[in-house]
Amino acid sequence: MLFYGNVVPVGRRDDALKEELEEAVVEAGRCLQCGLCSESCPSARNDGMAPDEVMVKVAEGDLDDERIWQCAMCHRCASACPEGLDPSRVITALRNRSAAKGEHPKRFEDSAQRFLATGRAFPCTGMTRNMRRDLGLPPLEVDREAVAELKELIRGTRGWRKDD
Amino acid sequence: MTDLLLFNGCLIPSRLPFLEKATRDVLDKLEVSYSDLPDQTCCVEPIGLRSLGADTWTLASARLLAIAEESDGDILTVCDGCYMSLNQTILRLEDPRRREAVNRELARIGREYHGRVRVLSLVELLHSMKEGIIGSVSEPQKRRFAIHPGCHLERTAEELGKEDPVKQMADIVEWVGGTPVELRGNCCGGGLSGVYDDMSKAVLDDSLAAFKGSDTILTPCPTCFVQFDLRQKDGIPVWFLTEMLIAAFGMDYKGWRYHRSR
Repeated sequence: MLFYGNVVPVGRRDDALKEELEEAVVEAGRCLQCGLCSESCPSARNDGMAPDEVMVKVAEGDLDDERIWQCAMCHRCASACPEGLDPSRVITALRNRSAAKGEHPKRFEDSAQRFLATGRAFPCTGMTRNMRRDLGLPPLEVDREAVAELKELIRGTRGWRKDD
Repeated sequence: MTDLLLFNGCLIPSRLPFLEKATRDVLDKLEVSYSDLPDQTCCVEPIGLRSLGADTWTLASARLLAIAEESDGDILTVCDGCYMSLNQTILRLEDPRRREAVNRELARIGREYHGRVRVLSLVELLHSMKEGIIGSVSEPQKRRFAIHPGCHLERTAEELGKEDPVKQMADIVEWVGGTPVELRGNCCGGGLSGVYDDMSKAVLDDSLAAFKGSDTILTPCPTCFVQFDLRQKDGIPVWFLTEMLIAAFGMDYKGWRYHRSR
C-alpha cells in the first residue's frame, strides 16, 4: 500500500513523513528572518511561539520544539511572508513528527479517536438531540457505511487509531 | 447549472444545529436549489487532525470531493475549516503525482477524484445573490457589524485568488441596512482552545478589543462563533452570517434562545 503526505507519494509511511520534514527544512532554509510572520502572529503577541524562531531552528536541522503546539493555526504567518513561505506548513510537519512519537495534546487525540469511531470530530450529545428536535431538524445519524468506507480509506495513515 | 451540495461539517450539526436551521431556512427563502452531500463525514478539520496526520487529512477530504463529483455538483461549505480543508486538498491535488497517489487509494473504495469540483463558501454564494437579498429585506438591521470572516476563510480565499471575504461580507451587511466595520487579521483563538487555554483566551481578547464600538460580531465560521459566543465577557452579540439574514428577512427563528451572548 502506498502512503503519501503533504509533499509527494512515497513507498512507506515513515518515508513519507521523512520527506515532508526534508521539505520543511528546505522551506525554512529560504527564510530571510525579516520577522514579519511573528509580528502578525497572535501566539507570539501573547508570549507563545514565534514562527521566525521555529524557522531558524528548523533551517539548522533542529526539529525538536515543544512550542509548535502553541501555534493557533491561523496562517497569518503565511499571509505575512514576503517570500511566499508558509511557516504554518513547517509547523504542521513538525507536529506530524511529534505526534508520530505520541507527543501531542490530548485534545487532538480525543478528536482523532472520535473521528475514527463516528466519522465526526465533535460528539453528538443529548443537547444535540434535544436542539435538533426543538428546531425540527432530522436526527443526526451516523452513516455506518460511510464510516466503514472512511476507515478502509485512511487505515494506516498517520491519523489512524486502532479501533479494535 | 451544476447542483449545489450542502456540506454541514461536524461542529454545526452536532453543537450548533440552530445555525444549520438558519442556513437551510435562508437558502430556501432565497430559492437556492441544493441537496445534502451524500455519505458525509468530517472534512477532517484542519487544526487537530491535520496536526496528527496530514496524509489522513488529505485522503478524507479527497473522498468528499470524489463523492461530490459523482453527484455532479459543487460543494457549499458553511464552515471556514471545511472550506480550507477541501480547497487545500484541491490545490494539493493539482500536482499529477499526488493526484495519482490519492486515486490509487480512492480506488480501493471504488472512488476517483478528477479535479472538476468547486468548493464554495457561504459568503461567496450569498454575495452572488444581491438582488434576492435586497428584495427580501423587511426589517433593515441598523447595527454596526464587526466583520469577522475567520482566519481559515481569509487565508484560503487569498490562496485561491478570490475576492476579499471582508469586502463581500461588508457588501452583504450594507444590503440589509447595516453598517459594516471592516476588520482583518483577528483570530478567535479556537486553535489553542483545550490545548493552551490561557493563550487562547489572550488571543480572543485581542480580537474583542478590535470589536469594541460594534453592536454585533458577524461571522460565517462556527468555530469563531463558539469562541466569541461562549468565552467573551463583554456580551457583544455574535451572529452567524445567515442569522443576520434571518433577522433582516423578518423570519421566525428559534435559534436566538441558544445564544449565550445576546
